Amino acid sequence: MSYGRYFEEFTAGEIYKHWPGRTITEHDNTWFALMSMNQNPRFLDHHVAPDRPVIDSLVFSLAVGMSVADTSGKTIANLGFEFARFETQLHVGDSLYAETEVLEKRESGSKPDRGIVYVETRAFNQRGERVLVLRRRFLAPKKA
Amino acid sequence: MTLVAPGYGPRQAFRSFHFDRSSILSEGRLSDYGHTYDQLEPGQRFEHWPGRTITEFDDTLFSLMSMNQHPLHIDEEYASKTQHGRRVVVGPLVIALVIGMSERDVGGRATATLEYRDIRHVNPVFHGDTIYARSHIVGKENGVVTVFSEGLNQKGEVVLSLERRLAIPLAQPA
Repeated sequence: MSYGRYFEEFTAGEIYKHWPGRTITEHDNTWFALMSMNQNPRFLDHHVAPDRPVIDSLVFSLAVGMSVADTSGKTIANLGFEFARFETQLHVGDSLYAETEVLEKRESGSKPDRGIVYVETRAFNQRGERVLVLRRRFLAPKKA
Repeated sequence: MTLVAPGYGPRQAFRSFHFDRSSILSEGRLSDYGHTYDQLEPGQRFEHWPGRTITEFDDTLFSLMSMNQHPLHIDEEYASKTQHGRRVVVGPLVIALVIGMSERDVGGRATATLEYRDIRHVNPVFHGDTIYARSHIVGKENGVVTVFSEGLNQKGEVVLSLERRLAIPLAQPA
C-alpha cells in the first residue's frame, strides 16, 4: 500500500477528493480545546455557546490530516502554510470532507532527489458549504 | 509599547458574552478570559504562561485523531531512518498548542477566527520538548485584530510562527 505521492506523481491542476470524511463529536471538540490549552468557554460551555462551534485549530488539523494520504504522505519536510481561511463556522455534529488541488510543482534548486509541491486544500461540511481553504508547500521525494 | 502581564490573575471585570455569571456565582471580582477589541492595541506584547511538554502520547493521539497517518509521526522504525533519526511532532499539534496558549491573553473574546497566515515551522519539535508561546498585536481595524504568535522550545529556539486575524467584539455593557 502506498501513502502519499512521489514528486513525479503530482500533476498541476489535478484534484484529489480525499476519503473518508469525519463527523466532529462533542468529545472531539472538548478534548481538542483542553489538550491544546484553549479554555475559551465557546468550546467548553454549551450554556455560554448553545450553537456549539467547533474550535478552528481542530478544523484546520483535520483538513490537513485528511489530505496527507493523497499528498504529503511521503514528504521530507513541510515548508509551511501560506494561509488558512475559515469561511463557514463548523458545529458539533457536522461532518468535514476535504479535497486538494495541485497548484504547482517544481524541482528543488539544490537537491536533485526532490521537488516542491504547492497545493490548495478545501474543506466542506455535509451541506457542501466551504468551511476552510488553505495553501501549503511541501518537499516530495522523487521515485528514482 | 505597552507591556501586559501574563494571565491567571483577576482582570478588569468584563462579563463573558451574553452569559451572566453573577447570577450563579457569589459576588466578587470576575476573572476574565481574553481581551475585548477596545483593550487590544497594536504593539501590545504577551508572554503566555504556562508552557507545556509534548509527550509521545500527545503526538500519536493527535496525529491519529486528526486522520494524519504519516509514518514520521507514528512509526519510530520508519522515523529512525529519516533526516532527524526519530519521530517529529506533527505540525498542527504545535500550531494548535501555540494558538491555545495565546487564547487567555488574546483570542478568548473572539467570536470567529477568520484566517491563519504565513505559518512557518522554523525548527522541528520532538517528544519531550517543552513549548512556550508569545504574541504581539500587529494591528486592528473594523473589529478585526491581527496577532502574531511564536512558539519556542525549552532552549529558547523559535519552532513556529504564525499570524492570525480574529473578529473580536467591543466590551459588553455590564
